Amino acid sequence: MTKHSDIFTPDGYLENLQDRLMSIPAREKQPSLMTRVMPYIAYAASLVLLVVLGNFILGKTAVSADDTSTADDWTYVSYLAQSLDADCMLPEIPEYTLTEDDIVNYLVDDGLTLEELVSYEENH
Amino acid sequence: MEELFNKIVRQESEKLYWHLRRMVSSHEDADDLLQEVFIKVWAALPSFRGDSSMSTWVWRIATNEALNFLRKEKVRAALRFTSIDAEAERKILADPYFNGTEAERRLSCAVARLPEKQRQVFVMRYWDDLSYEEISAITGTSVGALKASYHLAQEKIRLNLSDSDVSK
Repeated sequence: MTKHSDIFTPDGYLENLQDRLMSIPAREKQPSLMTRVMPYIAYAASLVLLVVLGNFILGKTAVSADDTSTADDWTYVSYLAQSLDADCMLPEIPEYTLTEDDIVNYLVDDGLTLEELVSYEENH
Repeated sequence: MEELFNKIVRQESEKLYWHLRRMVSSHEDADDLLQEVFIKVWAALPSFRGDSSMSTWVWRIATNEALNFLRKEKVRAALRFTSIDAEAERKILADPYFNGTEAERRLSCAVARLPEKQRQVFVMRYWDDLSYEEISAITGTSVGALKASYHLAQEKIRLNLSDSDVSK
């Protein structure tokens, strides 16, 4: 009695097993040297391409970032200089004094009641 | 070359199937592994130097494949937050190609819980009926170490079975 009596295989599995395994050489035809080496060459080439591209992109980004920061610095400095130095550059704000009527109108527009308005008038 | 390959298939395929089936606890996995083993055998056949017997060489490829499979299963189980033992037990309990007794099923589960190397030695000695010398040639482990490993495996299985008796 076999020691494997507690387990079994699907019907016909062991009968066909040898035929299936013997078909491996036909399926796994030994590829030529070039075919075998090709994936490695492709891998190496893509790696080189990646490095070159990476270098190019990183170099370009680094330079333009530097340029931008310098440009930003100069913009800010010249703006500061202009603001501090030339008052004429700022728009002129006309002088205007608020009258009491302006204040009352504002308070009325803001939802002030008549009683509150009278009390305000009396106190001022 | 093909004739030699076919001879190996005729001599070893069935024995290797049962070995792999015991190691991985499932017909489907054993079948996939067996295909892998013979693909490797075919690919490596031209470089076979004859340092060991052809049979030993083929078995070495098969046992390495089985151990690699078990290691991958362990990682897969960890990624699913389950243990490899639980996974192996689930496979054994769900195996549609099992017609043994409850005791035989429990023995399979206990063997599946052994560490990979002990499991390998136990399967080869207990189910594959290989001598310690043959196992030594395949695994590259000394006969003394194999005996110790087998003894340890037996003890663990005994303990495991008595534990499951208590818990019943």
